[in-house]
Amino acid sequence: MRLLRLGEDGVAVCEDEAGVRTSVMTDLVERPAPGDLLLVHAGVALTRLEEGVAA
Amino acid sequence: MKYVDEYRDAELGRVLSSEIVATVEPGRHYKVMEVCGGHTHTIYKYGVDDLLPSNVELVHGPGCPVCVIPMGRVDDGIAVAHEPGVIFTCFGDMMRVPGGNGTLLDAKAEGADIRMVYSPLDALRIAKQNPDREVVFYAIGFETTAPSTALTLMRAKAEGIENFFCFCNHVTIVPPLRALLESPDLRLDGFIGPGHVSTVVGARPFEFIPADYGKPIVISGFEPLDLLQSVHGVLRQLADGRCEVENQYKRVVPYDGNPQALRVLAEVFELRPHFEWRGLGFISHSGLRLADAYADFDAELRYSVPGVRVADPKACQCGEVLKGVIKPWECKVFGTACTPERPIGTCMVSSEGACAAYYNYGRFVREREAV
Repeated sequence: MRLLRLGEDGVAVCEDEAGVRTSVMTDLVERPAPGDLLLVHAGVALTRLEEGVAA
Repeated sequence: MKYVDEYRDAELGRVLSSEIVATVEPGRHYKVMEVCGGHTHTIYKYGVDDLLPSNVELVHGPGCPVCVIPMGRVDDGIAVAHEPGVIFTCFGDMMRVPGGNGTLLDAKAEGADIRMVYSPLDALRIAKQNPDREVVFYAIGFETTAPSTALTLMRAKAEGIENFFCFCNHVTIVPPLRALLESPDLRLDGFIGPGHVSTVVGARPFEFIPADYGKPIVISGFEPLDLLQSVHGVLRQLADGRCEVENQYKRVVPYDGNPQALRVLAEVFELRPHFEWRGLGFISHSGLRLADAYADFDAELRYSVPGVRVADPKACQCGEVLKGVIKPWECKVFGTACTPERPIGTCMVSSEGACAAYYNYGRFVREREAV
């Protein structure tokens, strides 16, 4: 999912390929930032992905 | 290779298939278990098994989080959902899992306030929006999902939320694999290791498989060529007389996992002495409960639950499917009395269940050429 906006509480608004937006906790990823591509599972980002890489 | 189109390239797939055929010892039958339900779906969605010789048998393991929840725990959830004033939240596929007294969806139809959520954070938001109600999140899943529950509980604690509770059914991946390896009715040659669980725990926890049992394991990604590469990796190790932990999914899985995720799991959860798994029975130290520091959020302490062990329906053979003893289509009720629309067993409910994979992709018995 693509990180769009990051809140002060570490919860980000992320968007999937279909354009669906959800709240995602980013505590497990170092220095998350808008534009990051994240592997998200059940509302938490498990890792940052390289652009275009098959996850 | 690292991009999606490369991992779905048909020509590369055929090349890998030829390499697998060349690696196989003629006349030998291989049983390789893919642990993760996501892998099962990739295999049948893309027809990966059609590219393997028939003496390479893929056996489907217990890595679908919904499928391993026993009926008694569903009944416990339903009992909590019927408590006055409770808003009960869970993932969507959990709502259709049959317990001894129907499903959570049935309980919702009877008037219980049961709501589907995409994450525990959604459940916490409902709790904040309804301060006069008690909100329970029915937590399921392996180490992939447990960090989300842990981080949500840490937020609830930090914010002083007092009306949010967790009914914890989280499980860990290593104990059931050890139980399967100890099982006398299942002789496996190697494992395709779970990909997303390993992003959290890393590859290191699987070292016991080669060390204690002399079997190879290859941690795999979720694209069709990931699976072919991983099957080839297992067969290559067997051909070379090696057994080790191989990480085919290095582009996502670090060998030591995600240290921050492991820290939050250690803070919020502790191991239960034992936990019941559908089909596998009670397995020691395989389930998680909330640690004492989070006891105020523990739904099992807050509410009275039946805690009764309920046997699976006689017609249902999910247990044998989860242990890889039978193929889904060998179950007496597969595709007849048990379908994704009207499931009897958990393996037909979840999108990660082996029975649902076979049913949805039309994969029934078929002949393949042996080597």
